[in-house]
Amino acid sequence: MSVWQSKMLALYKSRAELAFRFLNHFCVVTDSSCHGCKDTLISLFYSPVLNNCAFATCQFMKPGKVIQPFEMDLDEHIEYLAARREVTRLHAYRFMQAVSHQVSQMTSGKFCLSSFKPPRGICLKPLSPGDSFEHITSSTDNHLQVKRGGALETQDTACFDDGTPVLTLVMDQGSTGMAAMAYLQSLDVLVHCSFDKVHRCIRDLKLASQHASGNFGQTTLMTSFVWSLNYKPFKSGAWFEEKKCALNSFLASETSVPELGSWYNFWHVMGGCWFLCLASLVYCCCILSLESLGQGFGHLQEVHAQDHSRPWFSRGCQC
Amino acid sequence: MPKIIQDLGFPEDASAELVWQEFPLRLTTWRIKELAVKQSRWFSWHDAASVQLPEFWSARMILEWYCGGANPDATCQQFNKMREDLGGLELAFKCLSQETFENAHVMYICSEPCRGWYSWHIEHVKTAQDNLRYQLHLSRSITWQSEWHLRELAELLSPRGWSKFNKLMISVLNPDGVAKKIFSFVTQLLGRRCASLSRHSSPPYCYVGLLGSDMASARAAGDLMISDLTALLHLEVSTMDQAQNLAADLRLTLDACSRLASMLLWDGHHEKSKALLKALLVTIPDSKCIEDCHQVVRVARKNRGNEKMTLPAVQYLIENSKVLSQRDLQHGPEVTR
Repeated sequence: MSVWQSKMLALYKSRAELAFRFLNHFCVVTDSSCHGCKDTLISLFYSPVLNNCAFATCQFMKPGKVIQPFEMDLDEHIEYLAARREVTRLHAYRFMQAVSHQVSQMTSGKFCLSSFKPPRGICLKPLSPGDSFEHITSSTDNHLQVKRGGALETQDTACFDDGTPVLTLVMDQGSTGMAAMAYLQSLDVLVHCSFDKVHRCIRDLKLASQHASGNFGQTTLMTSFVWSLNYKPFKSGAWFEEKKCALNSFLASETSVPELGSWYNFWHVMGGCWFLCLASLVYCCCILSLESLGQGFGHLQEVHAQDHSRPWFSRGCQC
Repeated sequence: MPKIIQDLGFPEDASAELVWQEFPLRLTTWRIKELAVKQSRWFSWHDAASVQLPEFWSARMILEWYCGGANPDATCQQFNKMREDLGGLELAFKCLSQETFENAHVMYICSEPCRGWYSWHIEHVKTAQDNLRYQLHLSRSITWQSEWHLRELAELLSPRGWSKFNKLMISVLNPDGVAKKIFSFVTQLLGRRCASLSRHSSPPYCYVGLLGSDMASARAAGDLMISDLTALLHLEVSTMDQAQNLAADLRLTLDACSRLASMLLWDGHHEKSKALLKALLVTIPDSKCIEDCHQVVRVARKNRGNEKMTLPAVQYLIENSKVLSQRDLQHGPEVTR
């Protein structure tokens, strides 16, 4: 990494911050992948107001299912669970940490993931059985009034404005993203999670092949192996060379002239045309010695025995 | 007509001499490496299938000549089991059974509508505005139920769509069995695609009409928003059996953001509701741009040998990639030299 490249990165970061510092509504498209053995989260910020995009600073997400002592600041009851190694969905937590850090960097520290709460006058928590609600309509103001656990609340939606932060997260529909979505939904924050439609399509195809009757899963495995043969084993391409040798040997050993090679048999005789077999046999009788005739007859008998098991020679009329 | 002649596109009356001379030239994957199937790359199997399927019987013939051994139709087993004993070209030969031929064709032909749908979206729905236009199109002109790739999928089971299997049916041994497989695969795929696309009928996507210029659609979307919210509130306060379970299910789509957008509209704050809905719906259409960024990093890493890929190096690569410009997305902070 040269000095100039570092300067360009710094310049990019300051320009991105300048664009997004005064915005409150973001769309973040995010996905992680392993680079250099590290799980790297790449995120793209988009503003519907500016119609502009910027890459957030990539984040490395730590793997593992154990929280080390003093690794992060935790509530007491979570610390107790961490000490007993009973914390679950740690990867989803680290994913949210990474996104939160990216949001914080992009907005010069103005927002993080916990900032996307609804305004103070609005409570988006679900009502409970036995609660009640009423929509009050007047000439000056309309509002929803709810009675939650006996206490009367007025939903002051007028306090929502352009300054209220809203985040839309676009992710692939993986276990990490789903767990993060479930947690964020339970907090009733203004974070909307959306899942990528292409990932969904690919998953639909995969699930259809797994669940449809007909052994499609095995076919996928076999064809993936056969069609990747040219790069195997271990990306060396050694089997590709062997394939080429096999083809060259086949072409060198066989011939299209009927009486001279088994290619003709491959091509025509075993196509289910018995009369051609007979014609070849008669032809052989005429030109070959008795000894070679015996060999040829033996070969053709074998050919006939395998006729139905060699489908590339079968004809359309079979169906 | 022999299958090789049919697969490699020779005329039906082609002479053996002609076929003998020409057929090695048509075996592309025996001359050049072509594509490998990569599980993580979208439609990689289908790309490989388009090249490899026409060479199926030719490959089987050459491998049978080269490897010998028993007929794969009789000896083909579970792949992992065969892999324990065999490898290389012998294993490849064992995999090339009649069942593999039939199943691969069924999967390839039945997946074509989804592949077309993917290509169309990558080509036509690139930006956030395209995404909004497409959603408005789905809400106004057609509904997701009549989306073209779903119709193409369903059509595969009709007499008109069945013609796509004509060529395959000539080569199969058990047409009824293959027809059952086709029916099973298409219905499975169609059901899953419908389930995936049904999100356009759920909040907040079904409220997109509010962002369009058509007044009737906007009014209908507004009415739907308020009725959905009141229905959810009634369920939440209900003490009836299963009402809470149903409400919890509904909250998966009618989340806090959609709930607030509906409340804003109910209280008469139309512009605020629209602004919130815009933040939810005017988004980058897919995460392909991020996948492409990861691919840029992967390709760069190959050229670096054992050199460590540091975070600044990754950052520099993605910021200077052409991923966003290829998707017609504006990249304001880009540093030009």
